[in-house]
Amino acid sequence: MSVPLSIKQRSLIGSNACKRVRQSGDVPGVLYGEKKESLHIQFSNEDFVTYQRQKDRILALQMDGKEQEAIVQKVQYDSFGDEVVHVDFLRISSDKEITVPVELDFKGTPKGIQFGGATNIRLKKVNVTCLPSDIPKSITVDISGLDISEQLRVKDLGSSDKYKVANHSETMLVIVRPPRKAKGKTAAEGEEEK
Amino acid sequence: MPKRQKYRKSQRGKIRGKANKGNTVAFGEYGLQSTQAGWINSRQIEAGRITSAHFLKGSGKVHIRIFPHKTVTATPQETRMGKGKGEPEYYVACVKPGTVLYEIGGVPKEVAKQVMNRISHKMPVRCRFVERREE
Repeated sequence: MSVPLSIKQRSLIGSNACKRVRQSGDVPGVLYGEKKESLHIQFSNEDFVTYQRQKDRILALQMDGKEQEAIVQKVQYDSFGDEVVHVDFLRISSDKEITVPVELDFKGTPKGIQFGGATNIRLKKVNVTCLPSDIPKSITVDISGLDISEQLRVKDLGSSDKYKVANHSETMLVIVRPPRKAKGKTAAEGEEEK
Repeated sequence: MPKRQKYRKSQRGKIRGKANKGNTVAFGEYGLQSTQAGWINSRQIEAGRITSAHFLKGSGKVHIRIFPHKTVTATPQETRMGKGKGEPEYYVACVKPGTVLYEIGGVPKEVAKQVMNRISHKMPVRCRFVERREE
């Protein structure tokens, strides 16, 4: 399912023009891809924030009665990470495969935690290649069976007919670290002695 | 303090603008972000680390995102004017508004908030708690 977002074409480009767009309450952006010419656009900040809250990835960009499906390629934020400064959109077509990052949803508590281990999540997202209609919202990973020093790699994610994981098969996702040897404790104790 | 330096003494300089790098939570889940510009000296950074180590008791992982590269010199007390620039006294990290100072991972949000609150009391700049942004 796609989320509608109405956009307007902007003729003025550059940092000064973008600043003026932001002052008017809009966000400047650019739309490219599919071997078509790139288009400088602007859209409502509120509408984009609403889209970000939803889990749907595909946007239906509406302009002059026409609709173009796209995904967000890059979002630029201000220094504090609060305001959206600029957005890159990538045109997509329903019959062409795309590669997008998909969140991993880790379920369960590893066995090794009982013995003092600590879960170290190395990768929170994996790149998935699939058709736009088949993009999964998240990939569930069961980590309850992991003992101390055991790890889960991309190849352990399993396969699906709808999508293919693009990351290297040996890339580590999660490891249960063995308990740390009193290194932290000695530092803390040392301070107390002082 | 730095292991090796090209120059022993540095000029004070000015901290202009906001942080355009080092302003996102990169390693952990939660972070402490500076909202002011200022100098954070090596003792203050270490105080923050110790307070987090005390509170966490070995759980979670804390990342320190700043390093005191800058030398600060001072002349001794009761010294007459002149005789050149003073000797290096301490080291500071120059921090711009938006810089992430500390990060923490492997602990629940509530614990992370408590840790960052304790660290922020050791900092000479105003700070706020931030979470990793999902893009």
